[in-house]
Amino acid sequence: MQKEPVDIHIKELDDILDHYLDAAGRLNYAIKIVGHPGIGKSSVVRQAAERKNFLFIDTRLAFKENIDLGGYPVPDHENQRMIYFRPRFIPPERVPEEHEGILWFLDEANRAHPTVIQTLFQIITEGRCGEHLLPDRTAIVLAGNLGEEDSTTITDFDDAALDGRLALFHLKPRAIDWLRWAAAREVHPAILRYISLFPEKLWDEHRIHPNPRGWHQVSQALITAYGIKSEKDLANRLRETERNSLEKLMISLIGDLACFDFIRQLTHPRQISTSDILTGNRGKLESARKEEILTEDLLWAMTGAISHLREQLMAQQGIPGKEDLIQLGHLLCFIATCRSDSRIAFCHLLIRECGLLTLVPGALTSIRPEGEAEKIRLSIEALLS
Amino acid sequence: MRPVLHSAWEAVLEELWKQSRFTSYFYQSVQFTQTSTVPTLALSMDSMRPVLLYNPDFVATQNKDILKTLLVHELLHIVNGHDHRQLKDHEPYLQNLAQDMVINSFLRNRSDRFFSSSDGSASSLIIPEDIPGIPDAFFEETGEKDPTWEMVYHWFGRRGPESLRIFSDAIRDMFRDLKKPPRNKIPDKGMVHYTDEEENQSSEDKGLIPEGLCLVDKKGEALPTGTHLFLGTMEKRQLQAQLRKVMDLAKNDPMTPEDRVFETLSRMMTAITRFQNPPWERRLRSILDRNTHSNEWEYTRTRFNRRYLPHGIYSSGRMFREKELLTVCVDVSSSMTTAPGEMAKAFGVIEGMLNRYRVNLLCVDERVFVPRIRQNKLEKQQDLSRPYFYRKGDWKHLETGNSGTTFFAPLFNTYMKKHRELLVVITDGYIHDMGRLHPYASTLWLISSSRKEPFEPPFGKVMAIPAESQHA
Repeated sequence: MQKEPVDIHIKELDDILDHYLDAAGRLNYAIKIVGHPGIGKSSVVRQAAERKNFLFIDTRLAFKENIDLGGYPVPDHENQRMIYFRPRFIPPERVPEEHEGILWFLDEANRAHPTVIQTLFQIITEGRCGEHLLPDRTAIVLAGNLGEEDSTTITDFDDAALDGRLALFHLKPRAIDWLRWAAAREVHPAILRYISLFPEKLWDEHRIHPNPRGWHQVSQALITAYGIKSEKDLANRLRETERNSLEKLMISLIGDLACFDFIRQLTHPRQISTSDILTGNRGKLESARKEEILTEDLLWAMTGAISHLREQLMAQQGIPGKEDLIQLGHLLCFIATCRSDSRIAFCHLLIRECGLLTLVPGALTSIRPEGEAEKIRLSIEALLS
Repeated sequence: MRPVLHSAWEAVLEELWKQSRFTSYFYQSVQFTQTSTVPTLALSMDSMRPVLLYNPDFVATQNKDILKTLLVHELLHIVNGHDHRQLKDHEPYLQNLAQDMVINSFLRNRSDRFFSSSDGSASSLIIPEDIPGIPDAFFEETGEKDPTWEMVYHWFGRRGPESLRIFSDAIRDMFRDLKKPPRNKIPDKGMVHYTDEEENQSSEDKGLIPEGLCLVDKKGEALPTGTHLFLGTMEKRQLQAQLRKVMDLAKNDPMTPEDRVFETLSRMMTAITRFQNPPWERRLRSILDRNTHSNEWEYTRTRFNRRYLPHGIYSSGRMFREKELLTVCVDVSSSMTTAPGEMAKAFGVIEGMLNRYRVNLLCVDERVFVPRIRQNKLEKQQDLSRPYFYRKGDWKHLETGNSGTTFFAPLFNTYMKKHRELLVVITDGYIHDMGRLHPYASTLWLISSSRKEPFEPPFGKVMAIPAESQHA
């Protein structure tokens, strides 16, 4: 039975890696990080090595055969034996003086040949690679993809014995961590602002694209290849419909769903947000009543608000607070302004998905003026009948 | 142009919500905008958002069933990725006619039970009689059941007098170019609006007439079908991205799995379903693994490693073993009305193993036959000696409903006699000749969740494909 990886975010992984490196060479397990392509697995490990002043050795196991790990065989005719020369890609015999230790990062472990995976036993348990001993302060970190779950080609470890020698983590990126990382690397301001506003757009777990690497690539393309440094210049460039090569490049890096959304936010920003609905923004409510808000913007803002309420209630074991009722009241005001099909859909979502039917009367009492509350009550009753 | 919703749409959209969650969600993301620049209605993009341009006079003259059909028709153009703009080396009028015909025929073939509802009943789609469908002669000559527009286009081309261009020019009279005034003025201005300067156009619409084509009758009057606007490739792609976004939204609705439209469109648009709940998949995979041997590179002394031999060193080399065979037989009789996504679930596991197995695909209804997928179309091959090896995505073309009866004797008593590999049978378990089957021990029966009674296999192992709700 395979060991299930533990979900983890970058900050937690940093902490685990720091402790692991502090005790390098004295632990009887290695760390394995799995996750979708482009979420920063290699980058996290490299930074941990820098923090702890460890020599970082990055080896791609996908290109290796088990013979490679044992070293190059050279016949010693005089002594009638075979000498194996130490491969350059494995840690040296001693930790270099300027470093505290060695972090040997075995990347793409899941793409390695099964026989290479078997040699990992020896590396992890004996601190030895073929005939070559690894220095005392050598830490082993493996990384790999998930296989079918993230549409990558892997060799299943599926080996309880090997699993037992690994601390297995599934890295899941968070916008807050990425933004911190990106700000220190001068990622394009338009991307920083967009991800701040829509953190869910950083990474699509089901479609693989977009992912943090893709956004970083877009940033580099904008700044380095196209020389577009400000958000305003980027918006102007994207409005030039005749020259959409940049748009196509971005699609190729982050996928069309994220790309179109990003461009839309720059060139034709959304007219309403989830927060406008939850806070009951009067101006936006008035615009919605006059049918001045675009249908699509209203749809995503409303579904976002409903999701927020649902999560809020789940966190509170279904017991609503006063603030929840006020937010629900605001949401009902906006629902009343919607098109008939959207009205039915949102009421259905509230009742069926969030189980909020019993809270509606309480929420109606929070709506001001009271005449408005009565109108909303009647429209909801009409729907339910 | 003003984003105003004509009152006629209210009832249509409310009904759509009851009949097809996915279609409803899609149109909830679409801005309905009145305009006189199109004679009927058309899906387009404006400010990077989907917009349905509609002529209020046209909408006022149509009943809600026709309007509902038009909405579905326009949606299908996007799903199929139809490019109304003239493609290279294509005749635009014939191309647009073929695209409309394909969709109209698709809808006509399924009109009786197009929508599904929560109580298991189904409701129909009303297709106007005067809109063009694929001619019967096409089906008789080609045997195609569900053709693409390109097939219809080339078929017309082959039958056209002298050349495609001449034939296409003859079709020109079936269309009106939006940028040009109509051939015949219609006395009744209340019926159809045209886009020439003499019409009562609002000043905001002037100069904004989109490029496109509209189907017309012999009098030059717009037929009750969508107007084909010439969108750019990026706009087309934006509309398709919108579809995928709405699919994600619709999936959260508990009623969506029962939506027949969603199932059909998912098959056309998406790849294999990925589960949030892998145990079922793992169990199936482990049964397959236990019963067949996977292939892989293996080290063998019979081959030397070429990297070391020039240096006088002998080392074992690698040898690739042939992939193992797995036979998958799908029941395609009409009783096999699988719940949405069931075929996708089963084949999701099988596709995950294609790197290790060759999958020999068979179908069974009253007879056993070898399916052959060509140009996204399933053909029946009665010659069982020529196998068809499954390729990714083929499951989408395995449609049930070929006959009302399922006989498995031709499979077990004749075909499998010469085989030794594991056999996976995807069926609902309603088998007419169960008592006459010769035992084939290496059989895995995958029973669809639509079956309510327990299934007692005559031999082999059995697994039920879990219902959608079990994945929730």
